[in-house]
Amino acid sequence: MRNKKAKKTKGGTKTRLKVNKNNINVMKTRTLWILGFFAFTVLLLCGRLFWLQVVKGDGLRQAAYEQQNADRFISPARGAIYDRNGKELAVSVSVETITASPITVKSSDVSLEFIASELAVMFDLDEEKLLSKLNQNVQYIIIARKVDIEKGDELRAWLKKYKVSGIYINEDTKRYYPLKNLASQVIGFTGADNQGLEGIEAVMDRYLKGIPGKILSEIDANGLELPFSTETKINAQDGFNVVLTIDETIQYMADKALEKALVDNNCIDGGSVIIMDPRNADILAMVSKPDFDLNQPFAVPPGQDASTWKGTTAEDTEILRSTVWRNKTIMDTYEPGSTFKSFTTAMGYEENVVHDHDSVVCQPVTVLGKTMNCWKRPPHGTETFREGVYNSCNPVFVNLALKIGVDKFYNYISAFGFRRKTGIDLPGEQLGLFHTQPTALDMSVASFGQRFTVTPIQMITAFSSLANGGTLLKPKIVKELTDQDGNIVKQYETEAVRDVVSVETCERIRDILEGVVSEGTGRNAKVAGYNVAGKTGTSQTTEEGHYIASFLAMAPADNPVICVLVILDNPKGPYYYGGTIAAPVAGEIAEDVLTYLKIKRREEGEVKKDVVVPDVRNMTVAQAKSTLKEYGLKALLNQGVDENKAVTKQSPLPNITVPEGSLVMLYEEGRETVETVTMPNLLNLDELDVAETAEALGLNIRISGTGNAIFQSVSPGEKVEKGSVIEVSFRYMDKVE
Amino acid sequence: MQLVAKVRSIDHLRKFDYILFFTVIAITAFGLVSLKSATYSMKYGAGIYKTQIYMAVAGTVIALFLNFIDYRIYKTFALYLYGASVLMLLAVFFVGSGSDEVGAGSWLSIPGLFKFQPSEIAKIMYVLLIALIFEKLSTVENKAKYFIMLMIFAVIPVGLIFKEPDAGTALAFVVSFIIMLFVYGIKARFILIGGGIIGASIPIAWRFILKPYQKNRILSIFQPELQTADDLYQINKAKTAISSGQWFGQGLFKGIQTQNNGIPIKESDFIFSVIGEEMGFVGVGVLLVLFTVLIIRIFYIAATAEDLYGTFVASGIGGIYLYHFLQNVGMNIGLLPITGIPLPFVSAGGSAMITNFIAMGIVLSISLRRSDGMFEKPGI
Repeated sequence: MRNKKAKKTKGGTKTRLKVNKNNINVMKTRTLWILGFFAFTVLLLCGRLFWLQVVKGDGLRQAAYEQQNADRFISPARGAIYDRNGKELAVSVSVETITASPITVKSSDVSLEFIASELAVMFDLDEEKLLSKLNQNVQYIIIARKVDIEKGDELRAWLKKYKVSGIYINEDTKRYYPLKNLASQVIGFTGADNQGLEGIEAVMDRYLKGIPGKILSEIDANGLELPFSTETKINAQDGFNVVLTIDETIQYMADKALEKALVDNNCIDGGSVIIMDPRNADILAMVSKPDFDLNQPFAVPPGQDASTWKGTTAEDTEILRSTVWRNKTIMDTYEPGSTFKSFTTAMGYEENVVHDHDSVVCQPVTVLGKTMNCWKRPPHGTETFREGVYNSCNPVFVNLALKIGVDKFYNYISAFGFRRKTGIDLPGEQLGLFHTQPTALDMSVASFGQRFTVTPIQMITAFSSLANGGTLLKPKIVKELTDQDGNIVKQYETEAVRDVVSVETCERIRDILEGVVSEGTGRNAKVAGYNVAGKTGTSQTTEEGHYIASFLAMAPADNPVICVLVILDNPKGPYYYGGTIAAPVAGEIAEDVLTYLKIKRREEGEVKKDVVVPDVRNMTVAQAKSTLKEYGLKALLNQGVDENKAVTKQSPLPNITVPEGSLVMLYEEGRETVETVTMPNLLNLDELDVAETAEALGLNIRISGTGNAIFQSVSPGEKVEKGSVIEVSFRYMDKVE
Repeated sequence: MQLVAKVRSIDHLRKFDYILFFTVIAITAFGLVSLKSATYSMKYGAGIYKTQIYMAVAGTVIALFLNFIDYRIYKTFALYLYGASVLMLLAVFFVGSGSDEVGAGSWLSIPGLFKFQPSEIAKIMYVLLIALIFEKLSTVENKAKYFIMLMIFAVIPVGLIFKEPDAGTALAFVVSFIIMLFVYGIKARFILIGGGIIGASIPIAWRFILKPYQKNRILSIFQPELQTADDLYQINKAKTAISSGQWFGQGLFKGIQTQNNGIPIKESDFIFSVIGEEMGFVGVGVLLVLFTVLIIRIFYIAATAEDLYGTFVASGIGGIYLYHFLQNVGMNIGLLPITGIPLPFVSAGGSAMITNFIAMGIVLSISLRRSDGMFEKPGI
């Protein structure tokens, strides 16, 4: 029954279809015609579009248009850059940009020539060029970019006075860097449109720049803007502030210490310092020299001809990029030299293949036919491992590496992060070179830090892992982002990369490296009251006579709060060993920073205090003597002095700071002839000899460092007044690599 | 009785025209993205965009509803619907309000409710009735009566809309009619005669019917210097915008002309220029492909429709889309004179949106009721 019904329905449809069949056949042909026509026209459209967009497509015309319409956007205020304590490193200051609509200006009462000449004076412009710009038949020109508000006010008054229309004063901002050269490569700078070009300004540009607002205009029926229509403003959203981990004070300390070392040792390729808090990988200071004034990034760098310098040409920019703009701490790759021995030692400890009291031999060692010597001739011979580290003996480390084995050695190198970029939030980080298929010989040379290169930032990051208990962290330069009201928008957390070595290994490393500073090659980094641990390094480069002296330190050794890396590039002074010239810089920095961070000093017996010399003039000699004694100073008198006479002259003069126990030469009434002595040669004398010599001559000395005198502030043979303060620097010159 | 049985027997899920439906949804989505960008820097842009979203949603619902309604039901109402639309077109002349934007007084507002353009919805009513007459013409023996009806009914709305004046929309009716006529099957000699008549009427139309600005617009295709300042401005802005898009465009919300309000009527007639500038040749290419799929699909449905009424309705609707698409794009790239013709499913405009979705619903309904493969292979 159901079947039948279905059949019927089917049949019915069939008959109806028959009626249509012919028609449909015809119609299919006809629709094809339509579709053919359609396809043809679509192809035509595609062709035309291809011609318009791809063949004739013109980006240049658009750029011009964009420029003309720049004022339709409201610029947001660019966020500031602060140090970790809120000190301003980069700020935007309000300035004004002067634009004009030449078509409107022409309708003013005064002549264009007059306007051009007045404005040229006001904004220090070329009058002829300005006049020709004003004569153009365009809607929009820029007269002067980023002028001070005072200049803008001057123009406002002038416009009012002469009733000139068509000249506009627009709000604008300009970047100002209050600290000029300090941390210049880290902070970076911005271009003419306030876009970040280098450093943090470039990396954090998307947060700093904010979102521009807009001025919307009503349009008439034809899409033309109505000239006097009401306008709607969409307010700009200001950029976020970037707070760095840098501490401005610490940066300044490092900067000054490095600058002095570069001058003292005539380092022709500059140098760098990084200070890191190993506990959270915060970079407290990052110094790269040579540097530049951020307020004039395109100014002529040292060593270039100022007369031909433009600053904007491609070659000039290239020079800037390779010198002053270059952040050596992340872009330079160098052979770490002996500083790397701290890592080889850590590997040995972690693999448990060496102990401090093991007997080792410092004798030339041959691996795969190549013989490696100690830096010292003759070699140190038989010693304990600890002594080997103190003496920085290369053969000791070669033998240690051979015990560790090639695979493990290079696994550790990767684990310490030397094979990858650290990923610090700064532009342009480089990566050093390693042997791709290292042999035992490659490893042997690498064990004392040669024939591979790393960046300073990799070095300090890896070293921090030894200081913090064995965890490699990602170095951090940005602490947080804040909004204009100071609320924290984003906090940058410390990121752990991996655990590399054990806490025990770290303790042993800190202990042995502390010994390097107290007894070994790093003695020049010694700081009174703080125990510093560190390792010296002196590396050669492919260039003959080009050395890199470095020192890697952590302090205090028992609980490190800072790691310091000092690199002096290409020193051309009398010394080039890291232990001689870089270690004292690291020591000085460590002392300054630890004092600043209020880290408690250990009690040390003979710390000489400084004393301010009192004014004892007009007192009797007896009174003066007792006053000086109260101050901890000694009086130096002419022979046969009458103690009741008045003092008329003294040397040093009042208010000069001298070390406790210094001599003060007193001249009594009537005997005022200046007493002088001839300056002796103090060089190479030790501290005790210098002190005795000075005292015998009636001179005061201010000591820096320990060891042998390498510098005296008054040349031998010069006449000096008794009681003068002579500065003398000491360094350990033996057992220093 | 058979009609009801037929409806029941349809497997809606299997026979639903997914290709057509999703092509339209894709075009609509593409359009909404473009419109968001086009209205971004406009004073009342947010409102325009919001309305468009409502209309798109409402339209989709309407189209899906119409999908279920058997299109043959319209045969019964076609004449009344047509009559109502003609009345509305007439009403425009008495109570209509003009909007300067389209340069024509073509709007009708129902106080307290909404404002709409009768000429939009009239297109559908027109196709529904003219298709019915063509169906009769192809089945009955005595064609004279229907031929006269065709002549009268085909001309009335065209004349009214031309008089509004909105020559662009009037042409949509003409193109739709010509396509249905072509599908009906007109002999070659009639085409020649028709062509002759049109050819002869051009001088007359030129002399008496076309207004000077309309003449200029047509002439300006061949002699660009004849363009009025406004037209020249519009077309130059549109061309500059499109050409600056190059391969991949300047990016959404980044078009210089678009975001600086450099493109005239960029939310509607010239939205294609916005797409050209911000999405480049690639973006425009995607849109062209979608429209090509849409139109080919509609004519395929026309060719395989269950009955002749379906064939004519689908062809008429296909003709309207075809005209809107070609005319709008052609105008944007300076190939055709400027007429206020929106791009279907893309340009802002409530009446047009709803009308386009209604038309789509009707075509979906025709497609759903096509016979297919299994037992009833049509003779093609």
